Amino acid sequence: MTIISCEKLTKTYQTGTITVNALRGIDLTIDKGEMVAIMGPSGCGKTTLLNCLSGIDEVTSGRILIEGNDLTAMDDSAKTSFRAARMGFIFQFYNLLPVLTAVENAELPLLISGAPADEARKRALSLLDAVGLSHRAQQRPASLSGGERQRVTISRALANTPAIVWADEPTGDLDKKTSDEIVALMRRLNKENGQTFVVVTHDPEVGAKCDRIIHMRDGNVVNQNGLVSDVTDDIRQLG
Amino acid sequence: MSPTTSGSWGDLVSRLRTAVAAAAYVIALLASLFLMPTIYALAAVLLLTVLFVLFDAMGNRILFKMAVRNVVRRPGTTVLVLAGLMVGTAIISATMVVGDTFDSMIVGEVSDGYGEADFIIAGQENGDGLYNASDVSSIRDQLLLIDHVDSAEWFLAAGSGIRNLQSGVTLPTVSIYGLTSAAVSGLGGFISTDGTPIGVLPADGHMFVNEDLARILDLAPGDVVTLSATPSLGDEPITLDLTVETVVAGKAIGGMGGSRNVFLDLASAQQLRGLQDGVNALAVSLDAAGRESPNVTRDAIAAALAEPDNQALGLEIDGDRAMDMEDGRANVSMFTSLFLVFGSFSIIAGVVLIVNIFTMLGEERKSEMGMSRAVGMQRRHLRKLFIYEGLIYALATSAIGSAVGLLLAYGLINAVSMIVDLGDVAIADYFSFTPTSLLIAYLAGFLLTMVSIYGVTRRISNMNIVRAIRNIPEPLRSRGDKQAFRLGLLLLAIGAAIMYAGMSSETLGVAMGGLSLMTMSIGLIGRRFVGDRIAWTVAGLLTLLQWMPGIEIFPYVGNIEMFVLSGVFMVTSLLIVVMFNSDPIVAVLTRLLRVKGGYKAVLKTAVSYTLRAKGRTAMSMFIFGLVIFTVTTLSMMSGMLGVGIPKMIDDTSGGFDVIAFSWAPVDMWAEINGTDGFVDPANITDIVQLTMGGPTFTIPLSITPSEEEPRQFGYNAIGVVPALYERGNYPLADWNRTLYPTEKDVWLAVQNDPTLVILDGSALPNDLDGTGMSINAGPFQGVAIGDQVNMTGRMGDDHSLTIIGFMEQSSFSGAYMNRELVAEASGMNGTNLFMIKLVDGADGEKQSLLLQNQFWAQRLTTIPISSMAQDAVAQINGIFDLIKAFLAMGLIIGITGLGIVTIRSIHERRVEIGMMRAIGYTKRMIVANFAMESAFVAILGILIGTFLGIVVGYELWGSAFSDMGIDFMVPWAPILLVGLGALAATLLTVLPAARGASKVSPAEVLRFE
Repeated sequence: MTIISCEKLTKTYQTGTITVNALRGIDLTIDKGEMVAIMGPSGCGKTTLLNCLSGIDEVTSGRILIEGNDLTAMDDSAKTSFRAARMGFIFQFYNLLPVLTAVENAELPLLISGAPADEARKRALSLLDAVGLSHRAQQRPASLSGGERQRVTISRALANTPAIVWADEPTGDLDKKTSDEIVALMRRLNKENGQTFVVVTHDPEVGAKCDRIIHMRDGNVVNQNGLVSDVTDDIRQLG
Repeated sequence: MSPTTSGSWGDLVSRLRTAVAAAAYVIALLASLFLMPTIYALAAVLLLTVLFVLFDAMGNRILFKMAVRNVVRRPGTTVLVLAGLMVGTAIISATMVVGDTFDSMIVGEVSDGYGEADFIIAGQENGDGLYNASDVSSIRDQLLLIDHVDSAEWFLAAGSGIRNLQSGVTLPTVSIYGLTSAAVSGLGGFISTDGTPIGVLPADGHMFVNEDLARILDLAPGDVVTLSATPSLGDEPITLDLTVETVVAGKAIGGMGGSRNVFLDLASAQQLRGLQDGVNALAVSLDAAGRESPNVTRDAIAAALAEPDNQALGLEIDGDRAMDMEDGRANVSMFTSLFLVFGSFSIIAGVVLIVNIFTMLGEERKSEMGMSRAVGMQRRHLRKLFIYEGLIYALATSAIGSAVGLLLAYGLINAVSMIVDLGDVAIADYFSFTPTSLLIAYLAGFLLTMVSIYGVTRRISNMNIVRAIRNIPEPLRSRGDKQAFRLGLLLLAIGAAIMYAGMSSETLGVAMGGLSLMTMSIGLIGRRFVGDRIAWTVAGLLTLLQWMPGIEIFPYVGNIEMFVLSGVFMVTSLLIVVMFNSDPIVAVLTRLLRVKGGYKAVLKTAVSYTLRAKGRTAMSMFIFGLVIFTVTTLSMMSGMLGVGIPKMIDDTSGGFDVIAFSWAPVDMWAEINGTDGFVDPANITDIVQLTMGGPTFTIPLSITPSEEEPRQFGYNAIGVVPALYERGNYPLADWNRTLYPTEKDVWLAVQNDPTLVILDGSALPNDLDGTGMSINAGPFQGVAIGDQVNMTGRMGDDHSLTIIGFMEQSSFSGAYMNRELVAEASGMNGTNLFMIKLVDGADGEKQSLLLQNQFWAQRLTTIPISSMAQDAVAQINGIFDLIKAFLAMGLIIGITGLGIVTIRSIHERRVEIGMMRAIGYTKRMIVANFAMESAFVAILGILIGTFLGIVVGYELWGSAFSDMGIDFMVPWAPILLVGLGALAATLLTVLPAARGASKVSPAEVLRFE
């Protein structure tokens, strides 16, 4: 069942006097429960595509449907509410709030959605337990390692039981061993909970662990079922 | 810039160059301070400092270029920095200019009052200071022989009632001066209001009046007046009709000190006083050199008066122009010190703002500074960069601040002029400033800015390169941090040294300050063993406890500086306790405050950021707390005084509406009821008529052994009649309960026994503990029940009086005793003190004026009690409001600082804001988040300041006001007004920035490819 689809998606923005066509009429679909990697060389539009599909950024033209809802027709407030209810986010640099503890960061999306505080706390603790961090629940980000911080980010992303989890370079700031652990965790959660994961990455090993790779180049999707080798060849050629 | 590798030749040359320049700077600085006159020394300090920095900059041109470009690269930031930095200078400048104005007022008033005279010689011959002119003419001749004495002329000074026969307007008291022609010319003559010099006396049957008197009585040349004087207290008045010949400018000629003056020939004045040949004052004027340095001449005059032939006359220097000017300046300096003390809160806030601003600048440029360090710039180069930038800011802001301070002072002086009753003195006319004052303000502001910047730059320059480039926050200091521990030990040692110094000099402020530094050091030392939270909580609580009411650690007395110290330490220590116990506070608050929907998240993040981002929050909260603390304490004082003073005045009135005093005896009740005068007897329900004189009292050394000689002063002696204590309400505070069971027994005793006396409450003054100030202290302070004091009547008759009671009220001064004794000692055979009760609803002020007009010949002076109370309250409130307005500047600094912190915070947290928007924060929630953060800081600061202000207000009440019968009260209205006003201003300031934060595009800040 298709959970994400877009038609003729374009995104253009200005940088000074230069016009950048970041996305050039993209069509793609992603099914529910898939773990999909978006890969390509630097500047190909990966993050822009993720930002547009998740509603963080406005599109120039085209249509995006998330669970059958037309995201492009929603105003900012509706999109924000939709994100809070149906989406989770994992960022490269974690973007945890430094003044909140691990459990407080994890429960934040639930509080945003208006869940009662004790229910939010209970859910957050169970998620931290699921990612193996229950013993670090009261620690602040400054006291956590990179891998631990990313686990907290994952807990936060799953707090609202989202339909879709968007991950932008989730292993970009981690060493190999920790990266493997994080990707394995994401894979396990994807399998156990049936949530759709869309992962932007330049790491071939991360791509290899996903169900398929959406290969991008120059703002276009060149292959919706790409191979890791295709992507790495591309990256080597184009830098 | 020198090569970047330390230890290289170029680097060594650079360091040597700086060291030599620094040594030269210090030597030149010391030389100018010790060798030059003040103003040149100050200018030299400024110039040398600027030259030193510029000389250093010449050897680091690239840094100076960077500094200049940093100043101009963002005009908005530059304007903000200039505005923030100039506040401290503005306050110092305003205080200096206020001081200059008061100084100018003193000089002007004294000069105007003394005219051309430098000394007034007078005595106590026969108890009234009158001499036969022929007997004292030799004194004049002797004084004329002294070096620098230009002239010495006898004159007669007296008081008189006056009535304008054209309009019927009267005044009970004007000053009469009877002069000779020699006196007029010797003392510089008169100047009429049109500028014409007048070197002669008025013609026979004529008089000169000064312009103040002419204005009040609406007199013009040709008008006829009646003067009415009494030769002595108690005599029948003597009247004289005179025509106004000329209105003369200014107050006086040659030492005539009054403000409403009449000038006659000596014979007319003697006639008015019932004298043949009487004079009572000798005006001595010096030449220019003598006036410049009067001490030697003063000593020579005193020696001449003390010669054996002259001693019997009892003459002494009664008026001294130079000393009066010095005393006036000393009194004024207390007032300006008060302004400086209260202004110091705003100056402290200004310094904190400077630190805040430069920390913000440092944070903004963290990554570029990290890059500079990475490519070879040394830490000292970073410091120099900021110091050069700071120099540019300091030079500009000190100038702006000095100018703003000048305007501020102008506003303040005009406000003081409108609010404070200084009699006939129009202080606004004396507004002035000296170049020295502006230079001091400029220099103080400059140095304050430079020192603050230097302190900040040391911290900024110590950042880690990688963290700076990647803009990662510095880690918190670990428990084992040696630097913090060493700093704690240093603080402990410094505190101990300061405390020891305070104990040695018995100065409370120094001793307490040192002890507080020691307890604060517990936080730095103890954190190594028990962690931050416990160590700092203990440090904060111990420091706070020292300053709480009821805790006395040192048995010394402090002055007004204790107010500043207590504010700073109490606010700081309570703030520390709150900040280091933020977790439980956050938990409690988020549970207690019920918000709906997604705003739970907003509340949690806003409160967490406020309490857990300690450094920047603490600075803003400190400013709010300190200023609100001061405003609250002042509000409490003015509130309690506002209730207490009218109560005290009411107590003074004894239940009467008007108190009046005349020079000549009069049976007021009979006159009002028997004659057709200004006063309608239907408006008067009761008059208690008393006898009052002004004898001299002496307190023997046996009662005041610490004084060098017996205390001697003139004081009211009031004869007690049954009507006073039967119809008046004058409770006693204390009396000899062994001999007199009831208060009535005490009154009866003094009424009948001429050896007994009751004193008013000023004999039992209230000290404001720790301030060095007393309320309502009178000259009898120190005496006790059972003590004997001596009273000397006008004929030199001595009477010993035993004190058997003290009244509660202290405003109606008097020694209350047997009526016949008062009449004998003062010569007042009749009644001259009147306690008047009006019908309900009668206008006290109006009836007072009517009474004055009816009894002008007896020189009746009236005091309407209710308007006295209203005027006193209005003045007190006015003064306190002025000080609060001065303090409001500190609040503005606090709000500005909070705005800066918010802008900074938003800039630093752009990526977080993007994340928050990504996970579901709406724009409105982002605005609410930042607004709530600032509001929370403001509220917490206001709560801390209000709580501590009430605590200190309670202490003040306990130590001073409770004994005066004033109830403890908290004036919530002004306190809440200031607090809510500050909160509203804070929200208005931060809302634009918060709205800007909501517009941050998550995509832009989260884009990582």
